[in-house]
Amino acid sequence: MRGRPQILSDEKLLNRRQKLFEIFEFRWVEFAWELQRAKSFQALRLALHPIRDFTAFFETFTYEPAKETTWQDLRALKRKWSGERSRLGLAIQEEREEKKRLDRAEGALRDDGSDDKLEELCEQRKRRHAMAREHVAGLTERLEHINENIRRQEAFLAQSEFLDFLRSKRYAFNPLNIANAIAGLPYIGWRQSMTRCQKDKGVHPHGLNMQMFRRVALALANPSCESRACN
Amino acid sequence: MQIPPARAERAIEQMKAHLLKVNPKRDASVAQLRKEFYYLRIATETVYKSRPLRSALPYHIFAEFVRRAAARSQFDLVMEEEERL
Repeated sequence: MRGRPQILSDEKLLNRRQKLFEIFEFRWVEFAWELQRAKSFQALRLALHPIRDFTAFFETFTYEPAKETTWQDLRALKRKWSGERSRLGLAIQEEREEKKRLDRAEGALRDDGSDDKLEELCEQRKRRHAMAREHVAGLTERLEHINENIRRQEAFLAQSEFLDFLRSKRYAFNPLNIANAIAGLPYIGWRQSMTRCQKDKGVHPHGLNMQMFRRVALALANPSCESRACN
Repeated sequence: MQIPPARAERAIEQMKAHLLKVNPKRDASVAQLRKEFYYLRIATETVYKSRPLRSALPYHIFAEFVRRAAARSQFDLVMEEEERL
């Protein structure tokens, strides 16, 4: 395959789309009106509040976002996270080795009784183990900090993209189009997500609930001839 | 798109007329709404009493309709039979 490797496979993307579509269809009336009018991050988060617990996927749309970021910044931060995670893996291994060495020294001290050299060695190993533990704790904290930054940057990009989609008015405001647009966030932009999801026609649009809602909206908006005559 | 009527009675009449105009055999949603018109009527009355924005009415009415239809009492079942279109 040419170009940059896909971060999100088609299979994963379409699974996410399907799940979102089902939630949007079923809960449409609980959030759609507010969502359609959302013009800020805060309004977007408030609009999605009624459905936030249906899937962990919504966390990125309801999380407090970073002040500003770009896709490049996010990619760089993820690379940094990956490097730190490898360092943490090595540090954990090292800490375990130090612990084993310390246990052996302490065991020898217990079994063979007091010995100045052994006691000194034991103290030395204790210090080395404590340092290794501190190193692991420091790296863990650092990794958590980067992780938090990633979540906030992802939230910023996902929420910006979602608002951009809502503002674009290029597509009708319905559950399928919204699911298509945001299924790939925050890994790909809404346009790419829409293009890739639209290639798959496997979704049956509009269940009975959605059809009934549309019928009610239509009946309220367009008076029939009979009811006009009632005026 | 026109906005919904200002009064609940007018909205109910309008929905009733619309549902009676469409053949339920050709549209499952109409068949279901005709069958459960009682819940639609009381949902409409309840929502209009809370005076939401008129453009938000369809969303609120349908959400209330779903809530009521999901928790039917014996009284509701009798009324549902009576008010079927």
